[in-house]
Amino acid sequence: MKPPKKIVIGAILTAALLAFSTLILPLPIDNNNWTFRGRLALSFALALMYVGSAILFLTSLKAYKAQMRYAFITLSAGILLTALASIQLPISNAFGLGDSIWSRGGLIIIPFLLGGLVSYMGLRGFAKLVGVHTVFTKVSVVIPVATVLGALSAFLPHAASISSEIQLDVSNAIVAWIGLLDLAAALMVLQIKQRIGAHYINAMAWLFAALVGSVVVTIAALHASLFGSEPASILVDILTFILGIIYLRAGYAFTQTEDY
Amino acid sequence: MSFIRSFFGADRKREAKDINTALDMVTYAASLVSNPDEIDPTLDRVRAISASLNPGQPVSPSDTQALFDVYLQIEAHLATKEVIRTFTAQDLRAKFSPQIRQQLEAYITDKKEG
Repeated sequence: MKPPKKIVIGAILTAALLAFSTLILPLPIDNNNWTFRGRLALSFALALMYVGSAILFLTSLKAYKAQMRYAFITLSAGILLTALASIQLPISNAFGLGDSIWSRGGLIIIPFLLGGLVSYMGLRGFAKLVGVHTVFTKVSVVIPVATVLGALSAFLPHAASISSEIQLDVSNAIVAWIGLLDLAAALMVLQIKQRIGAHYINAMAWLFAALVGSVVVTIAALHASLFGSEPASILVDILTFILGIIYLRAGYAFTQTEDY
Repeated sequence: MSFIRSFFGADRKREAKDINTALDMVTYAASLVSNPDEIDPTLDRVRAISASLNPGQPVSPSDTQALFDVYLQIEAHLATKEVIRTFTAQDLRAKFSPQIRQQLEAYITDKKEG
């Protein structure tokens, strides 16, 4: 079996094992319920699939030149930061670390912000390399627009929540910011796909699907946050799990571009 | 469903064993270029040849030589100017059927000699 397939299978098996282990993990009494355990399991599974995807992107590096490697390493770093972001919150909640310096000092938002930004910058490097120069590759446009719209989303009316007002507003602003950066990255990838040689089309299509999936998840997460319904939260969990699989598939598709 | 298949490039997958003609060689090499705009003018000759062919009609010897020329230009681009990855002429030619590879190498030898 070729290494990329081993990585995919390894990531899925490890994700399944880790997800199962969270179902039997001893938890504080407040969180000792199946809903919380299920969410924790999904977060771990997603993080592992993100890690698997980043490893797949990194394994195809040897086929590429220095500038392309830099773009791929940046993209992989962004995916790993997103993996870290996706597990830190459930871990913090599960073990009552809400009062830690990491949570209280606001450091917990850093992996979320950096994950979206670093992934975008990696893909922007790729786009410029293949001659795509559009509004979506302009940092001076994309970042301010995402920041302003993200900040405005904090003022959207929302349903009652167990979180404080400021926590919910900041969380919504970050989710919107990430979603907008992912949208810009998805449109950039679509433009690369339309331009690049046929050999890379499958990989670009999967990467586009992963980024569109990220946008869909952020929209679903914002909807769940604003309207506060339980089914909407479950939908976010399911979509997030599917997104992990799509990212893994995108990483695998890139390893297939090594052979020509 | 065909749109999705096409979007994911299912209709463009080419196996090495399928590369039997000079036209296949050019199509294959062009598919590897990350920025096709850079070789677009080179492909004008290929478009003209493709457009002049009736379905099932073989490419004439003179057009085959013209296609070999185009292929060699794209091969040189891939080996020296391609921005995202490294290609070698040897690796590229290794994907072709033995028959077309021999024809290409004979053409290169003739060109050098004459």
